[in-house]
Amino acid sequence: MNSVFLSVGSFILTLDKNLLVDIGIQLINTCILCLVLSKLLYKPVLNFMKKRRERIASEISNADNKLKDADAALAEYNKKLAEIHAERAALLDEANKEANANKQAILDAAKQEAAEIKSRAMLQIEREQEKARDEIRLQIIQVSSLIAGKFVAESLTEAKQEQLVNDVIKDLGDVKWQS
Amino acid sequence: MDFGSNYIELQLGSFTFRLSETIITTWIIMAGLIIFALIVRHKLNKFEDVPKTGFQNFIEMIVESMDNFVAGNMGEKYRYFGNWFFGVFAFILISNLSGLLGFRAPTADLGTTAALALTTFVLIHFMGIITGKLGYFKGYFEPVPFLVPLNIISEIATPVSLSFRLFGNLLGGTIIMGLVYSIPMVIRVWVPAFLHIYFDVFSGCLQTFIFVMLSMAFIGDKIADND
Repeated sequence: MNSVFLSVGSFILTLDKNLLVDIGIQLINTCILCLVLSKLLYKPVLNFMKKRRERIASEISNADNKLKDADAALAEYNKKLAEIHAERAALLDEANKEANANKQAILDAAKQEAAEIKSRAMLQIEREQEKARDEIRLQIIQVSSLIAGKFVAESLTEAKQEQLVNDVIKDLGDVKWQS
Repeated sequence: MDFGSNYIELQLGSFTFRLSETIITTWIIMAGLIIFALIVRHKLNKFEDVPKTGFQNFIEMIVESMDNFVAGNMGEKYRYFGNWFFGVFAFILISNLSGLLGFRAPTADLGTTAALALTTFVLIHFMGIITGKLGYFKGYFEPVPFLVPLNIISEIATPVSLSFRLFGNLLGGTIIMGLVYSIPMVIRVWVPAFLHIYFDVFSGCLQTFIFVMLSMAFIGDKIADND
């Protein structure tokens, strides 16, 4: 097809066939431009921003879930801590009771032992006293035997005999007083 | 003074074709936007979860703003319209700002604005039929069947008003700038700079916003009527 240059000029507004051709060309131009800008710029940038928004929303959701998990773990931990506190208090209470019981038992045992020691000591004293009495009795017998021996060895006067008896009684009295 | 769009007329076989400055500028803008989109696509792999570059922040900001803008005007269900309106918004905005680089704004040509308004018109009625089924056609007979012609005229007025609003504003700016540039250089020192700020930057951004917002509102209204 040969193209031939016809003329040059300028126009402001022409309501003719050329206006329709211009409208047609500009329609095509506008459609092409909108299509290209949409495909190359508008849609890809919108998609990029949409994906970013979704990613951030998902991260926020994950963070919320993790926060919920953390809260649940904290609640569980607090619950266990409370249980441990209660258990510790129960154990301490039990240990106190046991310690008091042990203390009382030890005190009772000590008192009993002290009482036994005292009782043994009293028994020992009584035995010592008995032994002392026995010894005194033996001495009395020995003194009596001695007097009797002296009576037999010497013929005693009545006055002498009385003096001897008094001496013996005197001695005996001293011994009794000492015991 | 010439405020019009320059053209060359070509004969392609039996078909006479007018290749205008508007079309050429549109292709340049398209090429720029497509190259920018390719750069973004390439750098997207290096984007991080927490943006560390101003570039990533800028891209995320414009895409997210458009996404929220569409959702706010048309509802969560119709967020996918952002794919269309992002391109339309970028094209109209860069076209309106192209005057700063010495181009004649393609949006100062009815051919461009009519094409854009036509897409909105098609989307309005396509969504009307999709969401309303028979109720969509029934809407033309309300409140009384007698008003059918008026209802049809009001529907046709939508793209006409959309296209002429954008075209008129940009052409007005282009004409005023052309007049200012025709003043001798010594007198017009600094004046064009301030006018460019108003006509290209302020009015350009505002008209882009108005066109896109109205398109969304018209489509959204039609959807809401039938939902």
